[in-house]
Amino acid sequence: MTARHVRTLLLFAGLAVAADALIIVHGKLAPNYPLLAYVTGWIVLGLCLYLTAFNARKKIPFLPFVGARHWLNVHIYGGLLAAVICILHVRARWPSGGLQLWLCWLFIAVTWSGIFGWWLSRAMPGRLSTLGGEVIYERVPLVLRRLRDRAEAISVATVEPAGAATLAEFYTHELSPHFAAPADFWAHVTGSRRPLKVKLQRLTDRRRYLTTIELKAADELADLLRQKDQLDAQRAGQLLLKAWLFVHIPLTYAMLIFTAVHVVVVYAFSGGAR
Amino acid sequence: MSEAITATDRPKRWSVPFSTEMDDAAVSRVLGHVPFNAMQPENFSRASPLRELVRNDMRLRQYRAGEIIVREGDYGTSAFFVMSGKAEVVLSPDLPTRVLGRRDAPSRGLWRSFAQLWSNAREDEVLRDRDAQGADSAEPRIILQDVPQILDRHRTATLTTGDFFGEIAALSRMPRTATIFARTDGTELLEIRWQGLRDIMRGDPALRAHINRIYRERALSTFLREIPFLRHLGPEAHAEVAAATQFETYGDYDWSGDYKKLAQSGEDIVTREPVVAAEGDYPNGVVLVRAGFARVTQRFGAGHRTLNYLGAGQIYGLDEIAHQWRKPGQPVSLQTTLRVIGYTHLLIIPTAVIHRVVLPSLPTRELPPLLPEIESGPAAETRVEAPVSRLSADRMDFLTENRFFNGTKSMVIDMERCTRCDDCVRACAATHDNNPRFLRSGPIQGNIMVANACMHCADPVCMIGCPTGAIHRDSFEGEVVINPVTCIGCGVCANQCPYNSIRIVETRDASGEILVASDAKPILKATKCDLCLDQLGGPACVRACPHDALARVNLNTLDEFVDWLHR
Amino acid sequence: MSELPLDPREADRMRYERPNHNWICGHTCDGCPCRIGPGNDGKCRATSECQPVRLKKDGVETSIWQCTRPAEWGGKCETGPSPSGECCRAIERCKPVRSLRARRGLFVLAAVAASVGSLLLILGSTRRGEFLNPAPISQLHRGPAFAAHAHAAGAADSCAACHGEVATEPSQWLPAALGAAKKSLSFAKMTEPHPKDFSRMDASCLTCHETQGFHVSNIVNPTSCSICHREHQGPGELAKAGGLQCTGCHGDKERMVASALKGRTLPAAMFAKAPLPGGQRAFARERPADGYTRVITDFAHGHPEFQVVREKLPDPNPLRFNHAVHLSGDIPPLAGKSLDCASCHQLDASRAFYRPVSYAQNCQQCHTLQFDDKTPGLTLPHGDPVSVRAFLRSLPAQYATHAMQQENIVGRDRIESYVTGKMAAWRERIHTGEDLEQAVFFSDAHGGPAGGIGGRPTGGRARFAGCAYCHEVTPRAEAAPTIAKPVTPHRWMTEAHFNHTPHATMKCADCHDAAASRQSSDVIMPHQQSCVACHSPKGGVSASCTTCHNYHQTPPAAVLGKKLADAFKP
Repeated sequence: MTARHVRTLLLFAGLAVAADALIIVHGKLAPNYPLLAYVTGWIVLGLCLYLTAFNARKKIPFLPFVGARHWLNVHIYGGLLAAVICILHVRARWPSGGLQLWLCWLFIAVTWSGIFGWWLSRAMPGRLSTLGGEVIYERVPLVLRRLRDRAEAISVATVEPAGAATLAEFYTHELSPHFAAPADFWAHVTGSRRPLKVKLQRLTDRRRYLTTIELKAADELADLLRQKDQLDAQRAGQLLLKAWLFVHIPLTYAMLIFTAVHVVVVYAFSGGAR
Repeated sequence: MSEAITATDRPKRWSVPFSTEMDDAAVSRVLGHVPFNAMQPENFSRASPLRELVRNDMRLRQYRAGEIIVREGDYGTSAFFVMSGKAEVVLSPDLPTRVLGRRDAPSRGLWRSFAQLWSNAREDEVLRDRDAQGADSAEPRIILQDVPQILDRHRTATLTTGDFFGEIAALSRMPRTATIFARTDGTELLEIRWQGLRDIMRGDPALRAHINRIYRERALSTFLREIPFLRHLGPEAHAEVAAATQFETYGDYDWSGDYKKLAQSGEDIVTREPVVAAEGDYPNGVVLVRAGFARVTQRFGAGHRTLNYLGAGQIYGLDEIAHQWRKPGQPVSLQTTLRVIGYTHLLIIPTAVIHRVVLPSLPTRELPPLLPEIESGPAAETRVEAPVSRLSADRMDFLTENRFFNGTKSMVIDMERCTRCDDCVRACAATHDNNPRFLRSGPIQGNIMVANACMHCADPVCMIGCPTGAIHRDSFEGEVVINPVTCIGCGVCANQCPYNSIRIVETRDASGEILVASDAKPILKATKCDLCLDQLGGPACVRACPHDALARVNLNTLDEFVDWLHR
Repeated sequence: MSELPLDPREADRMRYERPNHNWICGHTCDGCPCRIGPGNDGKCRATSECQPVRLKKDGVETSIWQCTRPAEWGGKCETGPSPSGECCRAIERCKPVRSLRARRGLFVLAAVAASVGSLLLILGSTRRGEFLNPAPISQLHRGPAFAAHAHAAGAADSCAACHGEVATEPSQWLPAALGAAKKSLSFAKMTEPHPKDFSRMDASCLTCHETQGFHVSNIVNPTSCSICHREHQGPGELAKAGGLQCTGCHGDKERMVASALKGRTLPAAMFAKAPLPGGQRAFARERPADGYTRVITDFAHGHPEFQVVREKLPDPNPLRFNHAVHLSGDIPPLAGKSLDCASCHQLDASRAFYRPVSYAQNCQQCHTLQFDDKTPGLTLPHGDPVSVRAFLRSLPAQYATHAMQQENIVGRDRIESYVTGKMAAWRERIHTGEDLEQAVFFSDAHGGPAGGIGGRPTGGRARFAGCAYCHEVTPRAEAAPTIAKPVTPHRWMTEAHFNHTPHATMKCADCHDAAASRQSSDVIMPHQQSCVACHSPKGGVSASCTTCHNYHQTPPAAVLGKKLADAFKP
């Protein structure tokens, strides 16, 4: 167990204690503070605004604020705390009004997408790093182009010396679509090795029709297939690492808008009611 | 100060002279002075005639009594020659930091930092006029307040007309070893920037020999005083050790070219490195690394395993020699091999001197521990543990093979935490006028990537070939920075850099058009990480990493790196 | 387009990766982005691979054009620029694409737009109320009947009946919200325990429930209805108060002190109790000096002893009655059953309380008013001393009537002789009618003025010994003596409600210690602790305030119409 694991456990324990304390304190205060739901509501909203400010923080990296890693830690644990307080805010009951339902679903979606992203941010880098073939996401098309050019050159080059187009045709019909674009996103996200195996198997099946020269080229093609697979896997993993934010961030803003309406409506309609 | 460069004028060497005040009279005065009057102008190349060297690479400066000329620890790229007056070298003890008047690196205020949000260029690599500032921009002048008291409390040496100083820092890319201040009012010094010094030494053998001599003397004397196991020596014993110490230089001043070739050839680099002392040999003396790096290896199977590398100030061979001295009946040979990497200065204190003078002076508790019993000779595998046991041998080899130990601020990324979000790169762009100054890629070992970001080397080979001195050490923190005004985009530094950390970029105008000079070539500039020198709060990349995956660590000593690995 | 200069996985000498860009060259997905890249506006600005310049010779421009393509992008091209100075290697213009991050920004904008749009749509539609309603309204506050009610009160619709104009005018939301944030929902209020302020909403409640707002006159500030009654909690009844809120004030010392002080300044009329319904009698007792302002945290702790027990208040009933004697057992069984509580005490129509004991129903069976032991069946009338005196003064006539009706004696002579005989017997014992009257009214079992009627022992204790045996009889000069009317209250403790029926599993004596009571002034009501035995967390039976008490009190006449209406104005 590394020092980091110990820290994480301690943080979790701290959060659990804080959540328990909150629940107990809330239970004790509830009878005497009839406006407690407003207090918890403002706390959740404040936390949500702070959590959203993480995005703004990233846009001003030149200011010597707290480092982003501390900010992210607070973001994660603050987010979990916000979820706990939100449960207290709704008194652990499923809301029934339209606006409240929307708000509730948005909060749940944002919270769980955040938790998913947190898990992904911890699990995926290890997988990518074990995978090898590290590549910057923006360069994937460039590497792909290079692999494609090589694969084309190899298969075309066999036609003349071998006097046969078996491999070249195989490439044109079976492999070129694969080299044309990134592929097998979901297979790679789930860690499946099947797409590669299938293609390698097809190449192996074709081997008995190939000349000696083509056989050598086929080995090279197999190697390129493996590289392509590695590239696809890197792309899939890195894309997923970016894609979850497509849910988390837009929904956050949607939630804030609904929250604004919620606050105004509650205040306008309350007039002292609880 | 030259006029501000225009977009289509390519800066040349000397287009920004060291000083604009070197008129013909001043140049003639210098040329009439010893030792310049003895130099043969025909020995100098046509590209850099002596007169032009004096005009462009030197300047005359007047100092008041007590004014600090160079400060210990600063990186400087110029040497000084005393024209008249007296200067005082503080030998020991060092002057307190406060007296030296160190100040924080000049940085933007909070507002100007924030203003980058909108004031950054919208296009890549926009060449800005604002960078136009000369070499003699206001430098702080610090006057020592109580010179007699300093002379009373500190051991000093006096430099007078004809003496050279500051050449160690200028030539070896090392920090100043001592503080020097002017003793008399009106002390006149000739400041020579290191490119000039280099060229003059090429043209004048006498000066070359002279500078080499004083360079060695001063380096040795100051350096030995810093070595822990020599600190118990009295002045006489010290002198004896200093007299006996041999000084050797290995490798090329410009080692990176060789290294790059070697690395590309795919040969086993270890075997090509010069061996200073071999495993199994009799120890000739204690080796001290003065500058550069040496690698400690041990035979392992058919190859060599790197146990450690030694940077400046580290020693080799003392354990074996001490063991011999304490157990005279048990002769031991060297347990490891010492090889030098690149350009390395080594000091060797002979075994006899160590036995006679040094070891008797050490208290028992400071003696190195006895070596474990040795039976089967030097090849036994389990004898020596890796000195940094928390660092795996693979990792050690990785750092050594790639020469990463050179970095004082290497960017290391933990790939098992890095989510490839590029926040670091974006932060870098945001703090550098919309331009990233590093690449988030580089050699990977296990989960550690050393990114292509300037590591601010202890031994910055990039600075060697720069014709204009645009790439220089910031005098306060010692970071290696490039002055965009004087950079001519020749690409020498980028080629020199063994770590691929300097990138030559095509500059653009504010509308994004690539600037082309009158010779039909785009105007290029060398760019690299400047450690956010002018920003608040240090490197933005580190601060921007949300996953605690990126750090700038000193790989000269492994402690920081190991701590980070086990963070 | 030039060939790729380097293996892209390796560091590119000429280029930094620029993830800060919003636009990417459209040729990137083909693996060959152009050198200049798209502009900030997302437009392709590629023209050709270089911008040729005129060759300079000795500082003078010549007419020769030179290719400026850098080595990293292939160096000088073979063909070179056209004579007119144009690069002949034109770049196919592309359609730049947004970077992934820029697309995420679009997503955010889309999400914001979709949220705002859908909110506007819903809030502008007729289903606004449904959308905003956090939960269904309670039964009584919805439906056409309530809407009609609301209309009658001048509200636009059911929602507006409580919420006022914000319910129909979204433009009022912000001002109303800001108003609330400044007053009743300010941050200071949220952190204040029990803010009791009345609000517009409470005023709405009082439109229909005017008197329901009254608690007691010395309340420090009126309590909002919503403290206990929460609307929008589901389609059932309006949530009943749990009583948890009472200790908010009654457990708060400061508030109780203030309340006590306020009570002292108010006239007694402000605390006048409303009479019990149905003309029931309540046991009258003084309001404690400071009212009910003792600090109470719960029933088991801090709740004072019931006032009647605590102050040992006497039962003012002038009737002499000894519970102990009646329950001691030496009384002959009545209808085969020895006397117990139920012999005299029966539940009333409400089944919650017991009927007051009456002579006709509960006493007469044993305590007949047979004043002449030789004439069973002839009894004095009960209830009015004047009748008794008249009865005695017409004694011969009474005997005659008795003879005719009870003894079935027929014939004037026989009746006369019967009457004469009886009267003669009296004359033997008591000399005059005067004396008889004295004896009947004033003699008691303990030796009254006549030592029993006719001076003889009274025999069985139940036998009539004289009115004074049970009653307080006061002689009056000429008129008949007065007999104090027995008064039995219907209710002893009027501050609480109680129901005997659920307590039927218990014995009467568990709470009412009648067997020890010898005086009729004894009030045999239970101690508070005997309630706590069950009504406590330990006993397991509900111990909330509302189990016994009701917040809502009927306002005394002095309060009605004067204070209430003012107090609840928002």
